[in-house]
Amino acid sequence: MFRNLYLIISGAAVILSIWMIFMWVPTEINQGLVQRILYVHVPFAWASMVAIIAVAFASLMFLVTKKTYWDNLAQSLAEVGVVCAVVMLFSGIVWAKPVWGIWWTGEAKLTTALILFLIYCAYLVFRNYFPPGDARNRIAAIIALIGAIDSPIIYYAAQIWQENHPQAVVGPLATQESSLSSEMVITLLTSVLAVTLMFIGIVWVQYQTNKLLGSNNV
Amino acid sequence: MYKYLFSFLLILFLTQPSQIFADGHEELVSGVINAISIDANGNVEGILIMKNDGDFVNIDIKSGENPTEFGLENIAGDRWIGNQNDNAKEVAIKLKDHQKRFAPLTVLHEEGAAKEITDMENRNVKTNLSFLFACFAVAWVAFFAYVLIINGRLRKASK
Repeated sequence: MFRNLYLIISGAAVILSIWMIFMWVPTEINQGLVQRILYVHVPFAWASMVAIIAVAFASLMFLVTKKTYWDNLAQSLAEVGVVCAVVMLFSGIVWAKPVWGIWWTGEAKLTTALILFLIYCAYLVFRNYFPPGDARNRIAAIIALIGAIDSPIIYYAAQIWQENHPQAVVGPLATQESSLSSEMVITLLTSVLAVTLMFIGIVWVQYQTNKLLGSNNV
Repeated sequence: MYKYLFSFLLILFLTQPSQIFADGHEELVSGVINAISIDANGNVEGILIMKNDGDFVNIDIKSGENPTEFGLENIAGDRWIGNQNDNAKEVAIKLKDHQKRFAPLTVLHEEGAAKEITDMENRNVKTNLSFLFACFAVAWVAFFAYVLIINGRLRKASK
């Protein structure tokens, strides 16, 4: 019952956000249509940053309590997080080409986002290639805890090192100059909500799958 | 399952949108200023824009509530941002400077009433739809591919 309701709500949120992106929100004057990538890029960036914090929290709980379900949850979050990081990086690269004229620059925000993706990869590769057991789970938890340091650095990077990447458009760091129009903010928040619901749903399915497979978390 | 998914993706690829529907209610016009209309108080009432095909477009400049926003650069490249409520005199000076220099502008307007006026955008903002499509296509392909991987794992686990 709850699962079906969740599916309907998250599906409706995704459809609503797509409708808003293509049919409702006005086109930004300077960048034109390509600015609509914002509504994919920011929600997936948000999901990937939240995921690494959640991975670190679950890992910390595993180190404290030694309960394997925390370790299982951390692995599930990392697997979904890496997909979100891929979408974030790809959408950013595709957006940069028409707006900045180049696919990639070595500036702080982009580099720290790439590091986040590599941290996820390192975490998952380590889990897959290290022999299963308590030692593997503990070392993986420590990798996740160290990796989470990158998340606040990404968030503050555009403020600290002011380069090409625009500053935060919503949230506590948004200023009057960087903020969006009300229609754009509503569309962005709807997209963030849709991606967050999707993210939680997939993490839950991934968690159940990992629990069933079991052997991975021995 | 895979057959339907690939069919859906193929249809999506072949019928990629050639326009964005939300784009319909506002128009972009680019050109040089041919004439400026200023009232007795020094407020700019409107400008006549000549497009690169020789057509003229009358644009009304708004003040008061929801004024026309300007983002104009001088010859040295310094950008001035403001509207007539902030400084009506400066708006007139900047527009006259652009008229004198034949500096092209881009106007975002709704039924002839300007919402934003900036220096002409050199990039072709209308033709970067392929980048938008690529981004959305990859995001959804990545999402569905991942769902398929989880589905495979679930099957394996339930066996």
